[in-house]
Amino acid sequence: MPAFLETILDTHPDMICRYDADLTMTYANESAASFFHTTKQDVIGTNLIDHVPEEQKAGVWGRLAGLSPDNPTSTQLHRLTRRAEPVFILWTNIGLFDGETLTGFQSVGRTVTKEVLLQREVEAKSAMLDSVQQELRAVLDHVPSRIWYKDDKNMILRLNTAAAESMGMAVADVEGQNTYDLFGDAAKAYHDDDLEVIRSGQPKLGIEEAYTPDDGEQGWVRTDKIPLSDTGSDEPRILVVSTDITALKEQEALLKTINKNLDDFAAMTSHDLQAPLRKIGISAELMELEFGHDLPDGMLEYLQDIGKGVEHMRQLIRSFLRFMRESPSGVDLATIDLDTLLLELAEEERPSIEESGGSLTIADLPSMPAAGDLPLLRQVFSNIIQNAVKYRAYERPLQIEISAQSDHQFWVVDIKDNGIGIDPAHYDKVFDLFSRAKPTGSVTGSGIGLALCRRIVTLHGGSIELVPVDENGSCFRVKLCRRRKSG
Amino acid sequence: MAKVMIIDDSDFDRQMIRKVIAAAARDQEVAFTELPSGLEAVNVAETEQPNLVVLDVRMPGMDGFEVLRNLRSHARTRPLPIIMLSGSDRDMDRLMAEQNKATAYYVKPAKMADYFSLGQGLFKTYLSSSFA
Repeated sequence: MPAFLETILDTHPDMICRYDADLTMTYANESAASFFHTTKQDVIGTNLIDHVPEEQKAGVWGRLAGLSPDNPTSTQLHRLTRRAEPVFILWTNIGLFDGETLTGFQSVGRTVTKEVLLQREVEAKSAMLDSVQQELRAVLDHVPSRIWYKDDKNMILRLNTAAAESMGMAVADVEGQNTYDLFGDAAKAYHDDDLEVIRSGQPKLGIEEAYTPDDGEQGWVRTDKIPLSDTGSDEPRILVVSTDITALKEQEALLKTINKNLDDFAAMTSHDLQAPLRKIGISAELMELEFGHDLPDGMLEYLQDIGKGVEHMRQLIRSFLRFMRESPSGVDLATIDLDTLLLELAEEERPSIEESGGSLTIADLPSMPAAGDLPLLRQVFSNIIQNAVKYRAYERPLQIEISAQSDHQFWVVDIKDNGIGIDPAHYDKVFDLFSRAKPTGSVTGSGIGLALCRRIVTLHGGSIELVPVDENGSCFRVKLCRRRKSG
Repeated sequence: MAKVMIIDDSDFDRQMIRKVIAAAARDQEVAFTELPSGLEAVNVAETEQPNLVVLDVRMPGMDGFEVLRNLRSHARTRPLPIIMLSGSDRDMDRLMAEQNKATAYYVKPAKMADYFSLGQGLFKTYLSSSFA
């Protein structure tokens, strides 16, 4: 071999070997000798099989024996471990034939560790990406809302099954399609709207629209359009989420009807129930006025009983009407500072309570952002404090204590007093309409205050209850939904 | 003599209004014309020219507001004092009365003392000048 060729082969990083037909090594370059942990001089003349571990010998023979004049080449990825690190060598074996006769072999081994590890990493990441995409698809498809992910050209990049079904199509038929191709000019109005959201960068939330599916009755959807700028794409994107609110709309309509019926009922109560009652009361009064002196014994008392009964009934009707008038049919929820509300109320109520020798204390309150309708909640807490004043125990100075704590998703506000208290057997009943904490002749009340409190708190998704106290008095516990502090 | 026209579908209420106005008038003569509905109100009022019309609100057929509008739309009945005496204390009814140019709006009293006071007030305001 010419010296320059020898030099080229010895400086080549690939391992190059030649064998006789019986695998006696006839040539090895420096790189190959290094692979066998020896020198060129020592390795040439040895048999390849002697370098192969016992359990792999059959495999080596098998692979080389499989070579033929028609199919003289084979490749094999050989994995071995060096210094606890995997090393991959790609062997290209060539059978050397003289006609049909095998005269020897040539093997060229190239270290491909980096390539193999890179490929395996790519495969692993690709599998993970597939899995994430599959997961994302499953999540999207399990969301009952309809979700479209579009670009500014009105191209539907992604959508979920609910969205595709609402279009009467399959996901695969819609993804990648332009809405203009699917719906023609009808798509323009939606596209214009999308562009407005994309250009302004401001989401458009709560768009309510009626729709009529091809094979169904008219329904309602509420749509949110959200511009997306952090998608990793330079192109503007928009997320359109549409929720079927047909059931909600129907409930709203039903609620309106119920409220209208209640209004009608209140109007009817105010007139039609009062009229006969007025007639009974006045007739009884006239009988007493005009014939009192001629009435037989006992009759006068009966007439007075009629008068009292009529007056009681009239008060009940008045209370009922007040409840109907003041009872809200809904709440306007916003994020409010419950702690501020309680502190303000305490400041307002304290002077009159202290003037009568009582006290109102309020514990250190945390910052309490809550979901609430401020005027209505003010009414609730004011009612409870007024109740404590009204049902105070006159043998001891009135003490009202307000405290609050968090309990999972709720703020729990306790308003404790040392008043006449309530029999635990009546804890639930006191919140019923016309129920009064304690039948007492000295305290006036319509019996609607706590009923109103319960209605308002319930509309807030909260609760109001009486909790047992160790000594005298009552403790009202109000739970209201917490909110994250806004801004 | 003073003349009062009472339009109310309730016999009882017509009787009460008559009673309390008569009580307030004492010995002075007051003539009452009673109508159980407002259908003939304009015709009768045009002829009678009462010193006071006491008009109920809720009546079957034609309600008090419609009767009021009719009375206010005819030249000869337009200037008459028309007070609405209703079983309802709803703000909406008070507003309707005001919009339709009722002279005043009262809720039917539930106690005799209040009814007598109302009779005295009506007599003094609308009828006593007839006897001057």
